[in-house]
Amino acid sequence: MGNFNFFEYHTLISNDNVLLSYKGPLTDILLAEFSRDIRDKLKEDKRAGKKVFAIFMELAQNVLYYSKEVNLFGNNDKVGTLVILDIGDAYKVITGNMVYKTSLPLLIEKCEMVNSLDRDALREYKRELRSAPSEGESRGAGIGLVQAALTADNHLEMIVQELQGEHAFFVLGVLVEK
Amino acid sequence: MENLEIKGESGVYFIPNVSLNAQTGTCEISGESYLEDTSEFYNGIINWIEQYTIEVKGALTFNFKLTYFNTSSSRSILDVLRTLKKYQDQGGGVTINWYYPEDDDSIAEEAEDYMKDTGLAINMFSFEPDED
Repeated sequence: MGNFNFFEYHTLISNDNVLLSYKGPLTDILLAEFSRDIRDKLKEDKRAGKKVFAIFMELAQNVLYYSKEVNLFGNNDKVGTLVILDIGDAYKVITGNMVYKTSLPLLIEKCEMVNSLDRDALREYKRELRSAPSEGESRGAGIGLVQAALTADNHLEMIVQELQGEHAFFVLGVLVEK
Repeated sequence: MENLEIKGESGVYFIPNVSLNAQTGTCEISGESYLEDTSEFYNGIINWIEQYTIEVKGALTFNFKLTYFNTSSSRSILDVLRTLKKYQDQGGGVTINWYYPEDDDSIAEEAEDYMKDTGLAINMFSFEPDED
């Protein structure tokens, strides 16, 4: 088993504060199942629960469209990691996926731009993105990130890990206060 | 002219309820919107409105009563509103009512943003969504 401690891993994801933890191929069907599960788990906390759901949907759809890691068995589904944590006075929605190193500058620039704007400016920016014709490959990329920041009323957190070769692992986190 | 009725459902996607009435001119889109092909779905609604403005030419009241929609749907809703604005600019009677869940400020904000985008007047009302 090398350095992998199954029980450590199992304890980590079995912790009460992990509402969702998934790594693997993503499909629309899985997303629908996860979304139902999240709603069910957060139904007592309607306001924050709905925000977590809406943010999860936008970020997970981004992973579904853009992840550069593909499951080579079966249907070439996009691979990603989805995590939702309950950290006491807030929830945290985290997604991770592989991207090309070459697309990192634009991705980071988009997130930094979102983080630099106040709420009114962010709404304005969203309107701008929404009015523009969809940009080819991006299928509305950017607007999902803007919406996630607006819904959470919080910044986007990014972590990038450069891998060997042409890929990097990109992690995006959004905190939703209860 | 025929009415357009779509029964909403929540499966892999969330399809909103759509009820467009050519006799009364009263139209409603309600529920949740997250679709496999968003433009195709809303183009059906836009085509119905365009046909109505040519064949029936009556007043239109559009009630939006959505509890969730993704950003892709929000683009398409803008296109629906733009179509309604076009009709209004041609002299058509258009009333837009936007119902937002009372605990959801972001859906209320959307109406304000749509007003800025289209120049339409949108009446806003809060409502208490049904519990599932």
